[in-house]
Amino acid sequence: MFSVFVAVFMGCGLFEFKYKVASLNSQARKLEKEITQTQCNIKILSAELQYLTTPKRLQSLANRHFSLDKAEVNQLFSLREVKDYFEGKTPTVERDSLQSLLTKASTVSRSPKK
Amino acid sequence: MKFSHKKSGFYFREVIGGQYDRISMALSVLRQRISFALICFCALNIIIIARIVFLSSQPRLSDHDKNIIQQQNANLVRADIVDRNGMIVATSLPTVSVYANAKDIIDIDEAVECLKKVFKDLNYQKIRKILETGKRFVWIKRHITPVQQEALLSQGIPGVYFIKTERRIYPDRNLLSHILGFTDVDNIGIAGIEHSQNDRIINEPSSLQLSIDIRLQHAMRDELSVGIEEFNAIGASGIIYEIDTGEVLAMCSLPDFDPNQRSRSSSKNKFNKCTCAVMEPGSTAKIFTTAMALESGKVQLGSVFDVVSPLTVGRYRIEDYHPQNRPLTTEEVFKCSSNIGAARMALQVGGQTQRQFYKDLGMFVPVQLELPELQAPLYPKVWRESTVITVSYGYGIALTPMHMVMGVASILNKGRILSPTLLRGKNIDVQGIKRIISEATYKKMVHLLRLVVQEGTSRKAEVSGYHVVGKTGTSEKLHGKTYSKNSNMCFFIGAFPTDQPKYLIFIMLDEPKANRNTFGFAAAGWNAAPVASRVIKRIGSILNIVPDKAG
Repeated sequence: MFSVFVAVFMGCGLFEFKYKVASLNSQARKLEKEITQTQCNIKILSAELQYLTTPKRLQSLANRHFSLDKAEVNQLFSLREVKDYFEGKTPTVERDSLQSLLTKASTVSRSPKK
Repeated sequence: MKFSHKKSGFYFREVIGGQYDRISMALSVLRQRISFALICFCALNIIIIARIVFLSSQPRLSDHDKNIIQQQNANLVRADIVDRNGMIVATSLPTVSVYANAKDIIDIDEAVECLKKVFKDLNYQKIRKILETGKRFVWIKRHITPVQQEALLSQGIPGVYFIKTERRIYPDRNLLSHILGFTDVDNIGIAGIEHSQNDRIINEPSSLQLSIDIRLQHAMRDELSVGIEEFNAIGASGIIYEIDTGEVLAMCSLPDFDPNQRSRSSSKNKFNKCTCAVMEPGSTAKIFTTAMALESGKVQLGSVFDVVSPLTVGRYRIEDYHPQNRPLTTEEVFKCSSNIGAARMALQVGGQTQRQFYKDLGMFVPVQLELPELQAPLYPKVWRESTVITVSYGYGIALTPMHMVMGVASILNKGRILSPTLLRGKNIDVQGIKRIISEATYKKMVHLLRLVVQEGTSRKAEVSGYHVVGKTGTSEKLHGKTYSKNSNMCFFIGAFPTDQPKYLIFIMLDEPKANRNTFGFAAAGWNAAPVASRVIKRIGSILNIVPDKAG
């Protein structure tokens, strides 16, 4: 009688345990599916972002919306040169070109292309 | 009734008692067996019931769901390709394809009619024939759009099914076409990096990082396009190369194609001029001749060469494009790009040394680049005196642009020969690098190349602040067995900044024409050099090189 009772008890326990495992397994599968779908979506969005930020597209947008020309070599300054400029250490020739560049930059930033 | 032998008399004890014990024992065994059988029966029943309950409570996964999971896991296997800054240049996106099971199709004519309404461009006669054979799997159309999928669903054709597939996408379209190549309809790489790195892309999930910088690639492509238009050229190619790592930062060949729609492009557009086209390098070969001569010790910067008296090879007479009519020093020979001077320099060094120098530079074998589209150079098998003379000024040997880049980069890398690569970080910690020239010769070559840009034929390549070094070259194209005076290949190969050349620029224009701005000239100094100058101006800031404003 005892062994029958144990068998029934174990059967019930096993059933409950297996039911929980099945439930968790189902959840895991669902999550796996969601993860795969999200990964796919991320890939699609990354490709879309890359397409929208291709250099060719950005160049055409910049040409359309900004009144800026290509940067000339004499307009390029290192951060050290800019720091020296504000500390008054830069030689006079560079000071003039940097000053005119900073003035132009502030003018352009205040007046976007109409 | 319970029977007790204790209450019985002698007869019972003696006669029946033995029989009773045997019966009692047998009954006990029987009881045990029945109990065991009962337990087994109950346990079996419990197991069966539990199994029935479990199976009935289990949510059934449809075949469709199984398909989706399997396909999504199986198909997204091709890793992305990114540029040196991590920007995606090739990726795989999930798409849907349509197939049919002919056994499930009830009416083939009706099914074909319904398909016609959705896909206008299919070969229906072919599909009808295949469906009539009764095959279980017939591709109808690969990679359909969501709109087409919806339209097909609304048709509800029995026996026509969808399958999730993957499609390779190149967001930058034409920009990297010759480098990336493309995949076939089954997503197997069949050209470019996609082909050469196919196993790596399939087997490793992490992105494949190229040495290419798409900003530099765009600048190069943009300026080459302007150059083609300005000089009415039939094509162009350009390379930006990091000298001390051997990494190719940009490699552009025009005309190009969109790998997303490669079937619409001609084979001419798919031809990679940087690695497949072999051409005589013209005066750019004088870089090799002069470096070899200086390295040999037989020629010094101040050595004087007679360029006045003519030099003949068989029935051909060698002439200078810019005749000086006076003896020239090595510096002047290089600066004025004297063919006679270069030939006399090579003759002084000797054919064996010249051949060995070219061999050491890797000019007799295809470059070791991660592309399947590589062309071997063309060179004479027997190195005669005429070969020594013609090769000295860039004729009689045909190289790809990548060979020229690798050769000049080796000289500007203090003689260290590195194989070019399209993969970032591949050449880090390369051991046993062979040296072709000494540091002293390297310094002399930088001085000479700077002289050409300051005072010689490459003045239009100069960019104030970057102090470009370089050399132009113009070679006549061979039509049949004769050279054409009207169709040239124009090159510029140079580097910047001068104090420690780090980036090498190569520009080639195919058949550029003279125009008003070039005063009727079509030599490289008038077309390839200014294009190179514009490229350097654009990429200097991207490469984070601060111009020297002191001049």
